[in-house]
Amino acid sequence: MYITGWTALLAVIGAIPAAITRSQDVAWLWIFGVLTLAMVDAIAAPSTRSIAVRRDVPHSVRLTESTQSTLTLANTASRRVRGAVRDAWPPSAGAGKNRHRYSLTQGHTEVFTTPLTPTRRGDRKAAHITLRMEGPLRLAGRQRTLPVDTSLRVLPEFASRKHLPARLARLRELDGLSPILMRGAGSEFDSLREYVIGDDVRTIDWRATARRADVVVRTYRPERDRRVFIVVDTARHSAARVGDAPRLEASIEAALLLSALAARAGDRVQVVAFDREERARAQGASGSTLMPVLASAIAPVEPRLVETDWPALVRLIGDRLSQRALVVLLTTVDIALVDSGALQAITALQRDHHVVIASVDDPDEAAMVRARGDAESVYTAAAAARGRIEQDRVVARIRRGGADVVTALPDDLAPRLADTYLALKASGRL
Amino acid sequence: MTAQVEHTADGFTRRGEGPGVGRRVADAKWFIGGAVLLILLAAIAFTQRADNDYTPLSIRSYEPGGARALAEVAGAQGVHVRQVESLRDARIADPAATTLVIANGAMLQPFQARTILDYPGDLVIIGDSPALWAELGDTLYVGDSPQNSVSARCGQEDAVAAGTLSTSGAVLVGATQTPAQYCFRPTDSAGAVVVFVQGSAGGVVTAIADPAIVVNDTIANEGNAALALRLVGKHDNAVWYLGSLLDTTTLTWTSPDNPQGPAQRADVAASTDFLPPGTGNAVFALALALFVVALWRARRFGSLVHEALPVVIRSSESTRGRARLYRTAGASGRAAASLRAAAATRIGARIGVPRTADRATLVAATARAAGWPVAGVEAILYGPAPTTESAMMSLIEQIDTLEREVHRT
Repeated sequence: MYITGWTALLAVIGAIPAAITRSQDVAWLWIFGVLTLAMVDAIAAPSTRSIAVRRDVPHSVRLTESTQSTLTLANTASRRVRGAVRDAWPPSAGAGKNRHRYSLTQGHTEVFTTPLTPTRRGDRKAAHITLRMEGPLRLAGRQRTLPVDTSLRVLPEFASRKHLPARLARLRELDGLSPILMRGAGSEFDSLREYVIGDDVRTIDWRATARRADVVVRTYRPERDRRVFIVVDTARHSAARVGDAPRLEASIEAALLLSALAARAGDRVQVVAFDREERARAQGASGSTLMPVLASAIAPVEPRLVETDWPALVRLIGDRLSQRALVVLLTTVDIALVDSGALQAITALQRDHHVVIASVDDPDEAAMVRARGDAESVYTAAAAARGRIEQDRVVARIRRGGADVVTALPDDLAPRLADTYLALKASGRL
Repeated sequence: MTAQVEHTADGFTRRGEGPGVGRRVADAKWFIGGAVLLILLAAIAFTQRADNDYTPLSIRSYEPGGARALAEVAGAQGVHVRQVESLRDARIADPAATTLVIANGAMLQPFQARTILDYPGDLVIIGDSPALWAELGDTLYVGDSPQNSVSARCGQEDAVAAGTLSTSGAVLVGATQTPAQYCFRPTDSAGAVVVFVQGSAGGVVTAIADPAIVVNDTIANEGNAALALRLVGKHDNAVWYLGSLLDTTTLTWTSPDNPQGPAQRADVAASTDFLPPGTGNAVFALALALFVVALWRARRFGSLVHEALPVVIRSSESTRGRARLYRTAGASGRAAASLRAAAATRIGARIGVPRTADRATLVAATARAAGWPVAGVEAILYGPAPTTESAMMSLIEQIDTLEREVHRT
């Protein structure tokens, strides 16, 4: 049961008869009268069974974009039902106006929409739906909360997609598809064509030239159908905030950009989220189907407060990859890698594959290195410098083993990793 | 409260078929019982409320400080006691057969005191009343006495009948303008508990300094009841005036000699009620309405929704922690070493000295790039570790200067 503002107003109006009669007894009687009337009204209200409700939401929405939750109310009673409905969502679903008034005659339905603008990636599980049925006097009514399971998947923002056109243009240059005076880079034989002025004479295929009257050159293109295996580390380091968001968000952005690029380049992409076990996997899809599958698979991944199990990761990659591949580890490069067995894991992976380690730098620490002024800021600068030196040592050790390391600020990591990929492709090291 | 729900094929949800009425009543029996009990208690309080009164010295009050006992016994003896809360409401028709009791005169104004003392009938004043004392005698006041049991010690017949009084120690000190009998005088201090004064208007004015003689708690002690009943019950009627701060009216009475009664002060009468009548009741009704408003606002439209949020620990927290450790330990040497190493790495990268180059190569290249003496650069980048914070600060200054100079080339 609930009472409406009208009941409160009616109670307030009781001041007038109390003032006229100058009697406290009248005030008491008025209040009891109002409350009794409200109770009678609540009893006379329609049953909470009289409204059936359905909630529809789209399967997924990209972060920062808006969508809506659609409520359909159907009156199953044999009388008119008036009241209100609340479509409850957790705060980070960013629900706008979620309380709606309805008035339904027998057998009718009405549709309400609640705008949603999620503020956080992941699965947003909708909360309950609360229904209020007003009594005939509108003084009070019945209230009932129904658990309605609905879930909205909030996909990663993929803000780094703005870097994609520039990288795709570079990819076309590598492919030799762009109308430029440069042969396609890469190491894989593509085709033979007639020599035109400007071609590198070293690419002339003399045997083919001998067979024909024209001078024929070989064209090359980058290797295709290579395997790209991206690992997003979701262990404790990914939970720490860098800038405004957990480190994991920057890793996911980088994974998405690299996947989009590699898929366009004709490589086969697998993405895995891993800490002590596999948390998400996207594989098997290619071309235009890859990105939706990948975004949906990685959307519910949350950081876990555990240490990465590096040997298990090596075993997992061994199981999944049968041929040489590019393995990209999106993790955190710091002194802790030395103790955790990560270096051994990288060495083991490097034997069969080419490994790229990508790590998010903290813009705060970049600012702290330059801190001056009082003793405290100098100590802070010293601590940040010490961290930087330790990281440099770890990076140097990894590079000595042959792996590549990319460290960048959160916004720069995705394009830097994409550039590294393009450079590897151009040099035929995949 | 979440309900059992019923799902239909087309995705709709509604509350499931609930238990029957009997079952629901059985489930809610404690709640219903509690509600009924509460309503009963409220009803009892409502009906009993008007009978009691918590004002001290009120003849309707059962409290230890009330005077209901006196009024009840006097009533049983055939004396009609009427309580009034303003002097205007007294409206005494027969002063010769009516005793006026001023039960709480502490808040009387001088003009009110004058009209009271002009009353032609018998008058009893209970407790302290500075305005009345000022009219009765210049030096009268209520003082203290250590003695709690006082005997009559005068010839007044009511006092003699009462014999001894049990008091809380208040006595009236000083002399009246008109002749008076001072009774119940403590033996070891000045003053009297009861003073019988020959009133200027014809009646007898009896001043009882101590309200303990009439209140429920102590009226039964010693001769208190005797004195109180004899004074209040002298005539068939008694008007019991309970003073209040809001009362600014003057006494009203009529007698065969004076059918108009005393002149009413026009100015005072005009300013008696400064708020519209019924304001207090309206405020009371609004206070009750506030409770309903609270009920309205307090009922939630479904419960709050909770959500697990990601951690908010900044990645740089560990670096800050390390900085605090340096600071606490006063590790200026180690801090300087870190900053030196970082600066050397940056300078090396800028002027193209490989990481693997040894110390002498870097120093020489830096000195060349900055145009500084080699010894000076050596001292800055690889000199002895500073032992104090101030030494560290000046070293940092030098490192920064060196870095800027290198940059300039």
